[in-house]
Amino acid sequence: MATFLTLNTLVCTSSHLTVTYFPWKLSSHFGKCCLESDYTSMFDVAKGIMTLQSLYGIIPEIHGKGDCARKVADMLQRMQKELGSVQSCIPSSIDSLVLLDRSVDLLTPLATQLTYEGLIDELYGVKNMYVKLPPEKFLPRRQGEGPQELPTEPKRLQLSSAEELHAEIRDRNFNAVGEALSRRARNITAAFEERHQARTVGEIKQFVSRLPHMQTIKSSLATHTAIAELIQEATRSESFLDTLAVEQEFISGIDTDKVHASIEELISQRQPLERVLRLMCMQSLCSGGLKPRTLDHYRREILQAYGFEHLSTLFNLEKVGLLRGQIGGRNPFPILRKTLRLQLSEVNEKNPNDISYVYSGYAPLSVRLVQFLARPGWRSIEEVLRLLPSPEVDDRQPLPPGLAYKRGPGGGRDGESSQRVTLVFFLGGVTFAEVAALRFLAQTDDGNTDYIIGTTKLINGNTWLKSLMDTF
Amino acid sequence: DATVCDTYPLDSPSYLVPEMDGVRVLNITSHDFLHRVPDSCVEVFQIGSMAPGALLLEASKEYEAGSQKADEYLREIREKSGLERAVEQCIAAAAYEYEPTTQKALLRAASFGKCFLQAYRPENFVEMCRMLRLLNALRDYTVGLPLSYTQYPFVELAGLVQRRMFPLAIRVCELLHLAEQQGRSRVLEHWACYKVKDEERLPTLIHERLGDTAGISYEEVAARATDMGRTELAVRLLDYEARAEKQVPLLMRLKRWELALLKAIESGDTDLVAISVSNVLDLCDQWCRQNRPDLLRGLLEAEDEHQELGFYHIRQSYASFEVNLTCIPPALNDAATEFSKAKNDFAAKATEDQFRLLRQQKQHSQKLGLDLLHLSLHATILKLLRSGHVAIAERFVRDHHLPDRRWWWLKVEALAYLGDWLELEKFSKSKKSPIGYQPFVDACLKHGNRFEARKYIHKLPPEQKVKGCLMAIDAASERKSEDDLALILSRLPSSIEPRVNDKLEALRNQLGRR
Repeated sequence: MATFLTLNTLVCTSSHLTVTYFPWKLSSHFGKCCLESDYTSMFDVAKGIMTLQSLYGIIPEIHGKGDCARKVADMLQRMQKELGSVQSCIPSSIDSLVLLDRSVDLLTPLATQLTYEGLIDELYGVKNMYVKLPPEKFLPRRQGEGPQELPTEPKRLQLSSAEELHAEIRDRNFNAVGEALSRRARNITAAFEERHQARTVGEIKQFVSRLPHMQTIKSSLATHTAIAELIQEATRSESFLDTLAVEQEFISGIDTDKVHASIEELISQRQPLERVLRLMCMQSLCSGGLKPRTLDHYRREILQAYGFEHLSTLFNLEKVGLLRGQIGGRNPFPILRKTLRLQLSEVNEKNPNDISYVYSGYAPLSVRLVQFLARPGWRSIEEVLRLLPSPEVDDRQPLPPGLAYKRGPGGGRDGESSQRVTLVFFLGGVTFAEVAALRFLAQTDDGNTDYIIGTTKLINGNTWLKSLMDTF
Repeated sequence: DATVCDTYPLDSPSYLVPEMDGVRVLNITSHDFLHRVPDSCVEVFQIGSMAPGALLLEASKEYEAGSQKADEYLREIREKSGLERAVEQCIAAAAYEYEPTTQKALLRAASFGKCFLQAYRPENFVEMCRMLRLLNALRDYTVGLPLSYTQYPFVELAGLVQRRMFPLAIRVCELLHLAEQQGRSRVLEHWACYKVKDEERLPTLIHERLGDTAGISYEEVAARATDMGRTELAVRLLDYEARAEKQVPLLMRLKRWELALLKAIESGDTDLVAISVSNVLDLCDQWCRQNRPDLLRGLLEAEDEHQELGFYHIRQSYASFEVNLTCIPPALNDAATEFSKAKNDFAAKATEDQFRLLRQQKQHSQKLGLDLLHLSLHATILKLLRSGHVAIAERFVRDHHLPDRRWWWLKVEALAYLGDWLELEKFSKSKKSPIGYQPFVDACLKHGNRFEARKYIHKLPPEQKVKGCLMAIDAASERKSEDDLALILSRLPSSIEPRVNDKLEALRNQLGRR
């Protein structure tokens, strides 16, 4: 169940919290915070969380990592103080809040998302849960007719979790989507076939009553099959596969220290700048900063091929830490990769047993942090956390007396085996794949935690880098 | 209705103070309170009274003395089934007694009687104990607030506060279960206000005492300090104010601009920042709206932000690009200077390069009648090549150290675009290609020349050869040309991967069937 909350009219429609996410649409985002130290959006986030607390009770634990996380936690404390003794008497239904600053995990958004919804976003761009797709695939198929006139308007579709089929496949790895679709198709055909077996009037009536539902499924099946075909085409293309291969290489630490031929090739072909920068930044992050010569070579290439006006883009990237030279010390990435199991060699894409399925082998660092926090706790990975820049947040909010040991309807339903509810807030954006990974965590058997996901913006590598671009 | 007249002799000149339930008689030596004896007291204490309350008091006394008479009294009360009334009477009578020992005796009697009652609700009793404790404390001569029970609801904290009995006032608040904001916080605030008047090292003292008690308004304390002309104290007190929106305006009133801005920024409330900024300096206001970038420049210069200054120069010149072309080069020069001041060698170098590029572009644009201005180096060279100015393109390459590999890419693309296949072949043979021969194949196929592509497929390393063939086949099948397929098939040695052969055969069959 997805619940959308907007900042202005924070209305929550579900009384029972499940794995949901609500992008709070904020005008400013990552770039503003990191580049111009404009923390307006953080203030808005803090206000939003306060509103949430006034509805769902005080969140007793606040964890977090990153400068912005610290900032928001401080603001929350201050706002709580400002409220004074006007204490809420609503029992807490959210047990903990995790604030994750995008600057802690810069790598994940750069990698190509491989979940169904993630790929739709990567390829066509999802805006406010709407996507515009090329119309050719969505024509009603009729036989024996001449060539139809192609509609020129792009097909506009809403990606809604209310749509049964979409909710089922959106978080799957794309390689598992085809199977799910064909199974559904078989089921629906079988269901339609049942009409032949209906003999009595009662049976026919029963069949007819199911018809509308079946029709809906059938039409949504057609839509998603068409989308899947579009994605299939794109993902089979050589350039897509090449890019994926390079990404995997970088994450495994192969060839991260020299100028990469694939990147040069992309520049020579003048592929979109975001694509080039995504790979470059990945290389920089995976190698703990590029060698000065490599960095200068890359930067010169970009200025020469894409124009001098990108000079400030390059420096924005450097400021944020995405594309920078080596600074002393060892490259922390291999340690991170090992301790946090960021890369898994064997991934089961169809029946995943680990969150790494969302990137076919790479487990998003951000979600791993959340996973480790739930079990066994951040204490166990203190050394790794020290490798990540920026401060850690570990605050407790005192509950009003009398509420301390009670639990709200969100938990405590069955006494001991109560579900913990955690609000994970991504400051500076989250990708669909990360959302999918968190939802997966919530579904696994051993995790007895429900996640609510909040973010300042839904991003993918392209939109994210675009927000950091600044031309003269 | 009968008016009762009594004479009450006074032995010295006195003041009479009327009260709601009696009259106070004050003279030099004494302070008396004259009022009608309440019914409950009359019933309990009247001589020979047989009221249940009186009996209960007796019973309790006998009980404490260990006498069995207690039981007799109790029986008597119970016979009249007036035990509950007895307890009530004792409690009520206690309220009007001023002597703690009498109060105690009465309450003890009530408590004794209570034991024999089932389901008696103790609230009254507890409440009375609490009130008496409070009243006794207030009646103490050091406090001097001899309130009667009837006057109890009118206990005024203000009175205590005015007497500077802050600890007592706080205890009263606790006893009355007053909400923090109405009670404790207000008392503390008053305490602080009072302290403000007379002490120097106050802020810390105040903060120690007040702490972060919810609902404390340091702002009010500080405002008071301000009114008394103690600015420094006010500023220091304001530091403890939790609510930035209270803190910042007062700081601004105190003309502590910098601190106000700092606090506003700390709070993260952008509105507040904006308010304080607009108050701080008109200058910043302008800057915020970016209406007067010249001021931004001034700010940056003052802060020695050379890198930002560099970008500022560039941005400015590009913004006016449409209007005036001539201002870019000098701006780039300025920018380069700033970048080198900022020790950003790369940016300095890049800016200088751009400077040279622009000059060259301008020069050649006029000469060749091509619009090269504002193109990237890559695009410039491509444009030159496409329009056949190879020599000039090569000069650009040399002057700007275009990497060899990209030069090859560019040239292949341009030649294929022009359809100059002869030149392309010559170029491919000029030396060993640093980019391999795949790009040649790609370029040929892209511009629709499969025959040329074939030439380069042979040069591919074996693992790419197959891929090249497959691409050629795809191109052929797209055009649905059987001849092309046959040609490709005939050209291939039979030993080549079966994968290719299979695909070809399948395609041919497919096409043949049509």
